[in-house]
Formats: sequence, C-alpha cells, structure tokens
Amino acid sequence: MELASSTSLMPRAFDCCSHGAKLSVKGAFLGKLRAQAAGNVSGLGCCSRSFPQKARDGSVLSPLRSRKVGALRVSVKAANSDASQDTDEMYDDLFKKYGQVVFKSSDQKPASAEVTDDSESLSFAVELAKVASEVKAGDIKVLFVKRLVYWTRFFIIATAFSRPQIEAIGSRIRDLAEKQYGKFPTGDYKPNSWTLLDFGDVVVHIMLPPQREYYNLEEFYANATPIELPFENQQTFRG
Amino acid sequence: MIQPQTLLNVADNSGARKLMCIRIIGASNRRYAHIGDIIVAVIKEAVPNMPLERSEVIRAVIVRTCKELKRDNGMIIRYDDNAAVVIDQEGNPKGTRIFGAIARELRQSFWVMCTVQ
Repeated sequence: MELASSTSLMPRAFDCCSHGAKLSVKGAFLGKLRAQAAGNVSGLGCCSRSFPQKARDGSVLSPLRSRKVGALRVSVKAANSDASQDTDEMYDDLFKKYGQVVFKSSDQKPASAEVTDDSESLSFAVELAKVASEVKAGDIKVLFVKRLVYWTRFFIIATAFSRPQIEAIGSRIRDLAEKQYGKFPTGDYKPNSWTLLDFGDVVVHIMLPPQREYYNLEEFYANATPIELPFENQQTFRG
Repeated sequence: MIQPQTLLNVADNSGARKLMCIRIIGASNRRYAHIGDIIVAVIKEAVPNMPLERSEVIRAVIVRTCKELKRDNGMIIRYDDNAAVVIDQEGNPKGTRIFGAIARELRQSFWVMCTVQ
C-alpha cells in the first residue's frame, strides 16, 4: 500500500491533538496491523498522560472489537484492490461506523493478573526501599504512580547526602535486584546528582538534597498514592 | 534534522524561549541531529527575570523534530515543531517541568526527562 493512502487512514487514528504530534503508519506496518488486529499502544511513547494509560489499564481503546477489526480488514483490502475508488470516503464511512481508533491493546490481561503484578512490584519496591534505608538514605518515599504514567507502577524517591552515598545506595539496590529478583536496571551507570535506576515496573530516584528540593517530584506526582513503609513506622515508634 | 543555525523552541520552564543550534555534539563532522541528541545552542530569546539570559551558550537535548522519526515497527512520528530541553553539564534538565509530547526514544539516555514531563 502506498504511504499516501495509509496516511489518509492513520493520522486520525493516532493524532495527539493536545500535543500537536502527528503519527502515521507505513503501509507495511498497516499490513502487520491488519494481520494482528492489534498494536502495542503503549509503544507510542507519546501522550503519556492519557492515551497509552488506557491501554495499560487493559481497557480497549476503541469501541471496535476484534470482530470489527476483521470487518475493517476486509474493507481495506477491497479498497486496495480497487485503487481508482476514493479511499478517503471509504475510510470516512468506516470511521463513522466503527469509531476512530482501530487499535486495541495486544497485551490485555485479566484484572486478577494485573493485581498480582501490582503486588509483586509492590513487594519489590518495598524491598528496595528497605535496602535504601539500610544505607541511610533520607526521606524515602514510595509512590504508586500507575494511574498517572503509563511506563511504570512505582516510584521510589530517596535523598542521599553525598555522591559516594548515591553510589552506595545504587550498588546495594542493584545487587539486591540481581541476586533476589534477577532484574537488571537501565538508566544512569555513573552516579549523578539525580541518579535514576529503571527496573521496568519500579523506578528508583536517588537525589541530592538541592535537586530533591528543586525538582520537587512529590508535588508533581501529588496525585499518586503514597505507600506506607514498615521501617518508617519503626522509626517513629522508637522516636 | 537539526543543524547549526536551526531555531528551536524550548519545551521546558527553564526561562529560554528560542534556541539556535550552533554545534552538534558527538562527532567531528556530523551534519544533522535528531531526537535524543545533544546540541550546543545559543539562547536567542528568553523570558525576563529568569536565570537564563539571551545570548548565553547552553547545551540542550532535542525532544521533538519536524523530521519524521522512524521506529523499527514501521511507525513514523513527526511533530509540528523543533523543540529542545535545556540541560546542564551533568545532563540534568535546567527547568523543572517539560511540556508537550516526548518520544519514548529519550527513555534510553534521558530517563529523567520522562519523569518531569
């Protein structure tokens, strides 16, 4: 399929109006899309606030179900076979009939699986927070940000008071994740004033006090659910 | 396709408004910069009473380009503007918040940007 004809279909499906970004899909991909009737919407990486979030929640992005995608597939093939027809009109009709978004998430999980994943990530996050507190990181907070961002479930924000301490916290966390959970972080490899370790579902931020105050992530993610940490209670109890 | 003399918008609250690319970092004779690349830029326009001022030379990461970005899965993304985020020598953003859409490609090397978006 020519790119021109595919763009007439796809921009409306992917337009991120609020951000002014335009996404289009090559014909080759459209074929793949039709074959799979699915697109990993979280792979868009755009409109992180609203669009891909829905996909992660497991809700279908459009009123279109797979059966209807099949219907669209047939129609698109028909459009291909007769190139002289005005395909735009045909797509308009299809859009009217089936809604504007033809993608649905391929990695839909049942609600119970989501809850299991959440609890696993939670236990992992709490373990990491414990390790950070053992190395005397200050003001450790664990936030459940799944509802706010599409790319992770938990944030751990911790303050370290010097660069060697950042390195110490980072290496301890890496060791624990490797040995007990078999996870390897991506992100910063050398300690920075804002070091970030990405474990996929859990993202660890280790910051120096000035950076912590400056970027003020707690305020930015104020709508996130804070998780109570066991050692916090112990400290307050002792105090 | 950002090259020296290209004007870019600023996608953060650092105080700069317009940048002009003056150098692409990474290779000696590289012609164009794309999303995720670091450039050296000069501030052509700035918000009054902010730490950054006009004609200051800074580093910035490109976050949006009008030139299409191709992904391995065949997806093509293009934006309406060329935009960059001002960073310091360490790679941390000078502003505290980033506005607009940001491609996932930044996640590999500029994770921090995704966090403050």
